[in-house]
Amino acid sequence: MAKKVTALIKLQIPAGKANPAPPIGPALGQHGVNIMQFCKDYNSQTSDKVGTIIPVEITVFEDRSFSFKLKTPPTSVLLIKAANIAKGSATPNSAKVGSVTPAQVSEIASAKMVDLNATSIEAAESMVRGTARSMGITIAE
Amino acid sequence: MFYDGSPMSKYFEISITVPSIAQEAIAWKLGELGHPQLVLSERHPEEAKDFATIKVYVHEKKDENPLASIEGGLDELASVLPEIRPYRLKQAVVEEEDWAHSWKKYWHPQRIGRHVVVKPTWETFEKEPGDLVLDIDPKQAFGTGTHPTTQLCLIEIENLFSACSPEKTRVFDVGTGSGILAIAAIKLGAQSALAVDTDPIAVEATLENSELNHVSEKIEVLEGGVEKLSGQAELVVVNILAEVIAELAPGLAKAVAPSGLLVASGIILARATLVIDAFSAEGLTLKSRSEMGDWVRLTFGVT
Repeated sequence: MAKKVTALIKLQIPAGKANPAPPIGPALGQHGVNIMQFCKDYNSQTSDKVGTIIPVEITVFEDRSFSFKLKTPPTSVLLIKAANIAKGSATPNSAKVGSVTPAQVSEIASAKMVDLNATSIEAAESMVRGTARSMGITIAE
Repeated sequence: MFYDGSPMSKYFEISITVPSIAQEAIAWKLGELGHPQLVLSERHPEEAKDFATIKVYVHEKKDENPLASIEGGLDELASVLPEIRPYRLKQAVVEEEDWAHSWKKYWHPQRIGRHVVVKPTWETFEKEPGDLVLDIDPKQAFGTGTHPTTQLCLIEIENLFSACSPEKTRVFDVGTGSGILAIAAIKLGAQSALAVDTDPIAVEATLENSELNHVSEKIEVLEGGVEKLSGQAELVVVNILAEVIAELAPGLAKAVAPSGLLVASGIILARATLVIDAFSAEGLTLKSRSEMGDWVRLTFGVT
């Protein structure tokens, strides 16, 4: 099958609960992708993770057929887990809510490397550090 | 929220274009602002990855001015993470529609060759005498009849079968996708078909489409590659990629019956020689070729 890719769409959606409402409907509908089929397939692959967000990348081909790949959880979710906290800080400048070690940053960066389209592990780490800073999570050097 | 047919309501579509480095931080912030479901990025494969456009959809009843709260959130974020600048914000209004079905507007019956018509299951079609209608429900698998490589194969199968007695022809369809070629071969009169694909999604789609076209008793569908082909067939069709076909050439050549033919498609013009050389090395001879756009179909014979 000669597959020419026409679009790559990355969505952040809830596991097991995909439906045709936005963002899925408008994002996939404009490419003529069978939305109900995508929702059915995504939900069946993520039904054991309901309650979490599982990003997904959909590849749309020239003939409007598609494939998709589940991605690693968002960086913020991995940071919250690593810091063992309930959530990030609403006022990250003043209220620090937790900390992670440089080793944990490296671990998250390695896990997210492919999804982040990072060109190097250093670039991926820099993205993870930036996300941590935004959430009021410090890096314990 | 599913569309229920009530008068159209609206969504605000907020697009935030940011340096890719800040994408995950912004996704978190948007979640905090009550927008956990996002389009993280949407791009053409050749587009640069330095910037990503994140899209948020907010129903008008949820927030009448989401742009202001999102802009406020991004400003807060920029005070901790200046890397999110320069970002660009854009708001558009999207009318609610029946997204569960509106994607179907891109699919219509399509005539391929003289008599073959590929029809999405929900469409109606006025048949002309001699027309052969294939009902295909577009799912994930490749092979919906709209691609030149599939069309080249369908046209060739129709041509070959109009010049022989297809009722004695056994067909192997390697890399069957949606099963369209195997189904077409049976509907055009072939005795039986064996369709194989390494992708379980394709196997499932082929089984469903065979049922839909009432040919399932004549098509065997197996998950796997050339190793699944038992015996030989008078017609072997393979619509994959030039490199893959060339690699599979020894196994494919063995599957062609002594007086049989092999139709290879999915080949970009520049790669035609690769495939021709691969089959020549296996003792097959190029009988004909046909081009459509950048693609070429090659038909080989054993003698």
